[in-house]
Amino acid sequence: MNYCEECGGSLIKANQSEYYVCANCGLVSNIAIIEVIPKIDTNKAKRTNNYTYPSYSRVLERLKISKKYKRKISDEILIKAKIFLENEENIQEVRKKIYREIRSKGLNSIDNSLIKIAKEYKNLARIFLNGNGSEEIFEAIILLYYSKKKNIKLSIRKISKIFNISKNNLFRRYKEFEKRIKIYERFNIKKLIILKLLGQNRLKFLTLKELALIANVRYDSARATQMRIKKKLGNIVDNQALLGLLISSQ
Amino acid sequence: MDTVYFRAMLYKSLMELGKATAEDIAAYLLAKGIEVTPQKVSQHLIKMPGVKYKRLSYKTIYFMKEKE
Repeated sequence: MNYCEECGGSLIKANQSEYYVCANCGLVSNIAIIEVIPKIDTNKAKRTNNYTYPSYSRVLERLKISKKYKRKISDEILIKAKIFLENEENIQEVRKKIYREIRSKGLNSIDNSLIKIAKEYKNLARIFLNGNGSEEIFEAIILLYYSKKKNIKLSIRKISKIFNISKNNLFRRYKEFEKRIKIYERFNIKKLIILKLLGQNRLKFLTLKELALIANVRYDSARATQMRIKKKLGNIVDNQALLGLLISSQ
Repeated sequence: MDTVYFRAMLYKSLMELGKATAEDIAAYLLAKGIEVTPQKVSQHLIKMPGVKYKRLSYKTIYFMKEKE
């Protein structure tokens, strides 16, 4: 440790300068700091060392698959692609394998649970299309309607491929269905239930679950509304009373 | 649907309801089995003789003209 020449106090490194300063009297010493320590951000070094994410864009580039699929293809398929590339030299064969994978569980497949839902709500499409059409068309239309209501991205082309229907036919029938159901979509669940109780031509055949889908509400809240209406009406279900409820609720 | 029949239904529903908005009439007709939109109802009601309307800031009320 160095000491001050004047008072003998200890010397301290001056802030933002290359000289020592006396802690006691403040005299700037002639001794300059010779040692230069390189500034290394240890955290940054760690960060760069720990970076282990594989770059899939290069894999896609080598396979000549468009990069727009990068986000859509699952990680599982990308890892497989990398492994295939490491093991095999023939890129054409790897491409074939990857496209097969994509087809089986990638972009063109629809979740099975959605198809189940389509079968559940099939009755809705049948009633609004006056019963004209095949079962496949009803299912396809309801799948399209459900996906639009719940903001699931499904194209007409994709659905028509699954149900083996022509794209044009599906589009035409869907428009017909949409035109009719739009009139009922304006009403809230309360009015739809009242119309059902009044025996409206179409709604009398629908279940509460289907009404909830039209009004875009949860089944639980639809059931609660139904209970409230029944409580309000009591034992006597009169058409005049129901009409009064329908009009006053506007 | 036949326009004459539709207009007759409109008159009938307005007579029954007294004062009503286009939405009320559309709902009433829907309950009877006629699928119409409030837009179509108001389109016809404005032109119909004997029907008066009062425009409020948030809705339009339709009613029949009283006989003197």
